[in-house]
Amino acid sequence: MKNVASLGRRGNADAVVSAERDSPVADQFRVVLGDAVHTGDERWRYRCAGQAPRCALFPGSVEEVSAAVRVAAETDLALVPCGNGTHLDVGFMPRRYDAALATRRLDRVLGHDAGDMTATVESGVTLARLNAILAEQGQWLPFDPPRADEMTIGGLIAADRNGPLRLACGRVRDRLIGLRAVTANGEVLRGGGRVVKNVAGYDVTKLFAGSFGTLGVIVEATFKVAPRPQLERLFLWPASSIDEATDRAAAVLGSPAAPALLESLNGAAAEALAIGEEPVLVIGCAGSEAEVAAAERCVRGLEGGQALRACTPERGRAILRAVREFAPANDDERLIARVSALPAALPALLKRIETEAIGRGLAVEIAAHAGTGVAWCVVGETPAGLPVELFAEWVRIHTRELGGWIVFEGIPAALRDRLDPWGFSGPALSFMAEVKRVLDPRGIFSPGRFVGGI
Amino acid sequence: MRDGGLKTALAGIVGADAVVERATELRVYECDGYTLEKSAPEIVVLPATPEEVVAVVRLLHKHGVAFVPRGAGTGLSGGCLPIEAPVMICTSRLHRILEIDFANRRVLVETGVVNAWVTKAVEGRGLMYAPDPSSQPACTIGGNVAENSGGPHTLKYGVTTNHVMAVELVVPDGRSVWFGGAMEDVPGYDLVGLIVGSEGTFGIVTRAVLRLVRQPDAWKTLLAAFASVDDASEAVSGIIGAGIIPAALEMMDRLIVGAVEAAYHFGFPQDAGAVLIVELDGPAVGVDEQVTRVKAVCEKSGAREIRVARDERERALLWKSRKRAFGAVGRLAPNYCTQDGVVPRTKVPEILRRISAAGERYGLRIANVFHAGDGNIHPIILYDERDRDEVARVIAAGREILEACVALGGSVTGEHGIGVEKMGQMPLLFSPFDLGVMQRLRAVFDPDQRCNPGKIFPTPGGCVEVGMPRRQAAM
Repeated sequence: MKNVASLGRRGNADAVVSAERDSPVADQFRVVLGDAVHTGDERWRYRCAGQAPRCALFPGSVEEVSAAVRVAAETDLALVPCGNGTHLDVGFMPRRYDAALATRRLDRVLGHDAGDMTATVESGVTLARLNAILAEQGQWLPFDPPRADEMTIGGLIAADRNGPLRLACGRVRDRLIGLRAVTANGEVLRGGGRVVKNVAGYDVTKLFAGSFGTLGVIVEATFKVAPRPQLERLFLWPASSIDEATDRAAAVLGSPAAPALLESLNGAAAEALAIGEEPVLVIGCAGSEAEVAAAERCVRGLEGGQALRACTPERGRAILRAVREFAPANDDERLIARVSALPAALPALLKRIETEAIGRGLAVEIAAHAGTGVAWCVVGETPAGLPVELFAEWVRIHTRELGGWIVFEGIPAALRDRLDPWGFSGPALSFMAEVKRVLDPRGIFSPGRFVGGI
Repeated sequence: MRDGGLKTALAGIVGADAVVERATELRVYECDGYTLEKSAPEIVVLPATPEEVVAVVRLLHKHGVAFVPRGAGTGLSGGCLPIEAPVMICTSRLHRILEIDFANRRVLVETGVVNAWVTKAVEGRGLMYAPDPSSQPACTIGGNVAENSGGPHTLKYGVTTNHVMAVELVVPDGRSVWFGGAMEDVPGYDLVGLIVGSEGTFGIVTRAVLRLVRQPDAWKTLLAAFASVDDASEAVSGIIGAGIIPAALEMMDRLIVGAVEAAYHFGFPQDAGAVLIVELDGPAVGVDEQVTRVKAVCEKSGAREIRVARDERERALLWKSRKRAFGAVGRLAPNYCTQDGVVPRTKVPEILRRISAAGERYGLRIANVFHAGDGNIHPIILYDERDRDEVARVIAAGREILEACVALGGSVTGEHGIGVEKMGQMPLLFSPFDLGVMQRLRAVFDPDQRCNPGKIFPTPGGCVEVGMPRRQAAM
């Protein structure tokens, strides 16, 4: 959403026209939420895959969330649950979209006991705020998605978003141990609990990780948190190509270095992030001074490792920030693809993607969470249109041939209705559709947004 | 089912020698590690391939016959007890490790493969399969998937669900479907996460892709002896508070230490009120630093003695003593009943006090050996089954302890599952709505409740009355 000014203008113009037209919908919700129903410009902020809602709802309690959901269920209105909307552009355009249900007023940290290494929060707390609170006790929730200062915990779960740290710290599903969500009948569903080990009943928490607002409104979550490492240091290992940089990640992983993160960048990405102009492997090490020093020695001992450069703490932090913010969602000008492949297949795949893009006259920036097989590819500042569309299709076919997956988390506006953001099919899909029907039988939550149009 | 035609048809699929139907042989299958309730199946089939499983399940579907999947039968909550299910499908002949992908650290296995075989197959290349339930020399990957099994090293490495990437599930209508994938970030709902821990109520998992992890470069295992469980608990909090996450952090109280020492002669201090086993692993330099810090924490908490395992042999003996602690309990009493509850880690001293108080109130001896770092307690209540009054007190005390776990913010099971044992306790944790959603989710896979019926969910009549606690359990 780079072009905020133009969106604002569209919003203003539309608001005048639509305020009256939308009022019946908004009025339905005003009965239970009063002033917390907005119909003006603000609703443009909650566009989902290009579509704006008729109104935006800001319930201040779980009870108000339930009340709003009951209104929607009774009057057959469609809701898109969200936090601050950082990932609302991901997915198909919902078939119907009457109101955004934003959880940002549910912003209490409900419990953190450092000795338990768990934290329970309402879903509207931002990741940055939670981590500021946990930092007081030397702990953190070790996820590093883009826009952590805006991204709410509910959004983090629903978008299953992560960053370079996933290599060492895992994904949302690995740390989420409990959750409460308002489901389509307004009732609160509880999954898991507040303890780190718990096998009572089915693990319904897992369903919500990566569910993109299609199963209910996440209102509360409990996570396993972690001690913050004493020291974090960043190293740069220049390479001649993206495949070499990515290959080197495998070498580091095969050594005792135990890195916290390994990000391989192609030249275009390194340049965009102001790291340099050549492909590079960014290596993050964390731990005590002795551990970090040992890890550095270990990488230097690898073939070609003499070229390793240590960053000053200040430069390291700047690079880390840039890498983290590499591919934020909600970009309707660039194609942002999340590619996943077997880690050993990734170097060659990324090289092919880069070569193919160049051959088609496109500029592609690539940043890979190298050890995990997941990479972000961004096709930038070219006029969106046929070349990008054909390239997107080529990348999908080629990745699928390797058994991998590709999700377009950012799609240029001109291509929105021509590209399937998920590209998911297969026998598991019908089971997913059934799961959706269990929790949301009438399709009031983000209808049609998810894989296969679920 | 009762007609011979089905038996013949089953034998036609798996071979006559892979069908068990003689009453004496069926007794092997009448229970798992939860021996309190027993019920032999009418027939057991042992398919040798995933394709045979599909054919068997299709045949049962055609005849509307319910079945129960079983791995090695090491479960501890009666998860594979045949209830209203005449046929048992045993996965023990699905025992092939199909593909080891060292470069990507993945392994494709059939689900009758024994947990320990996986690590054995890859350790030569410096890898391991991290979840290590104490029954790992016997328990199968399929059973681990069903129960979402844990083990001592899950504090640092996570439980089964953190290491299963994909499963092939044969649902009760005979369809075989892969969920998840060998790659990360498969789009769609995380159904693998739902299937893991579903206690065999969705269908039979026939193959799985598991994640392998690098073996630590170094490890040190410490034994610290304390005057009391309170002192030991303080050390646990101190270690976590210092920002150290050990690979394992286990506690044993005086009663269990005495029994274990008599059985395995490790050299445990006999006068200690509690001992901690702390294992630290990772890069060598970090491990040495952590050992120093853990020692300091233990000393500050009043440790009387701290011993570091000198070599791999001593470490192995220490872990053998810990993992087979339950086997040693036979020295203390004719029978015992193990509970599996969880509390927030900081509530460990409180739950231990309540366990001790329950023991005194009911006049029972209770030993404790458990995953202190996870807050996952395993009180072992000792009794003699010939004393009917004592048996009744054991049941009451066990129930009270689990209720205390829930009251302290915990759960009624950390790794053993609900099975038939704890169906009555589900409402302590979940509302009728929560339970209703779970049952509707089950129906997505098994709408007629033909796979492992009668488990997990409390029956409408209320709690299942348990007449006697189980006699033995490993963990």
